[in-house]
Amino acid sequence: MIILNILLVPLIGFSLWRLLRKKLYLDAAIFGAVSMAGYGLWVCVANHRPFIITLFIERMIEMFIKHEIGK
Amino acid sequence: MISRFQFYLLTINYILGTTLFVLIQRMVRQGGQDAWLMPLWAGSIGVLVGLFWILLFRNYPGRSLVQIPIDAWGRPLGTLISVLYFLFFCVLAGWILRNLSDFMNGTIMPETPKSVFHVMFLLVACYTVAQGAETIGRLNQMITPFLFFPFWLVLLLATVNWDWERLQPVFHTNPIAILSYHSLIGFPFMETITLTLLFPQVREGAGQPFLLGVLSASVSLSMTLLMTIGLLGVERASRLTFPVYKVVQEVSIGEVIVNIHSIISVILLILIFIKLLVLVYGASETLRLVFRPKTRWPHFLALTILLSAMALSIYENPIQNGEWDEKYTFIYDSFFVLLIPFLLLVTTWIKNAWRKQSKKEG
Repeated sequence: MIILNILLVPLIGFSLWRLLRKKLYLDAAIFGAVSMAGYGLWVCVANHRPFIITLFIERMIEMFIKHEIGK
Repeated sequence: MISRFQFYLLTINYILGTTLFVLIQRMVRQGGQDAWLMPLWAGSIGVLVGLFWILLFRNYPGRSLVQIPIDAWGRPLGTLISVLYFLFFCVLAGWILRNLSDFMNGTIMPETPKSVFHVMFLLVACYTVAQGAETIGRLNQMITPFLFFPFWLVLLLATVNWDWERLQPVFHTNPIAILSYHSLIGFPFMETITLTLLFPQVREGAGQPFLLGVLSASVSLSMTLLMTIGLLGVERASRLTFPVYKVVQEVSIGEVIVNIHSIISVILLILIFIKLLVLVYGASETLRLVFRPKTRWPHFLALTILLSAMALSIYENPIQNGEWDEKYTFIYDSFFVLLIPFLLLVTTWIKNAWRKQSKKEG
């Protein structure tokens, strides 16, 4: 977890700071959104509790199917 | 701009990408000695789906898949749909990166951490994609002969172990078992929707080379399956994790031609890299076309962080991946590949009819 933060926080922080300094706010927002999504997934992996994407999709599909049958 | 021939080759390599070592075992298990028929019928449906996309693209000449929802449904809803496509491309890229690291860990590099493969491949892929679509097209064209000839040469060398008996009785498997394997339509044929992002970049129309590419890839897959069954038999091929790799690993001619399986590993790695290039291109183009940022490199860095994390989070293990694939791939892909394009097409027809009506009245 510490290594992950040592690697990712300066990398994301520095790039974000450079974009904001150049007043590229839209670019900073896109970069922030994409990299923070990645950072969130990395934190889950580092904590040994990964957010399994296929299980999430499976739950959504099952929920939709059940909802449709329930109708 | 890329040529029609370059796009044709790109379509074939994109489809073959991970399919050659992820699906062979599952297809043999499902179809038995007649498994070689499966890519042919799935490829035919892939062509029909391709024709459906071409119908949609004819209404929006020069526009990309992620721009069409904005044109048809307006900026807010269109952007939301484009973001969904962005996530779809990212999930696919994460998937193939994980397939790659599973293959590497299972065969030649069992000790190396998965994320090393993911980050290394992503860095090279981002660099290539940053050079533009022409670079992807030319790279693929240049590299294809070095994939095609060694692959078939190595498989031909393996024919010393060929036995026709393993393919008999022919047409014996229940056709329903073959036709009900719908996940093969989803992966790899429906995933070719990513290639439609390159449609505006193809000189003189992308439709024909795309459809020919799908057909050629399905024939290639069918021939590879035929070779695998003829060389290993149904029993062995359905139990091995990477049957094509095993076929080549067992080649031994006069104690001179031995250990040539590294050739097949390199071919498979390059094929995955090509598929990854198209997916990274799809994700970065979606960001560029929808949000119009002024810079490019920070977004490639963000994509590398996101995709490397997605690769580790996509599935728990290859068994769960296999089960998920058989159950949900078709439904999941259908949402992006059939439902959204269908709704877009209906909206376009209604809009066109409305315009014609207004002109008549005006």
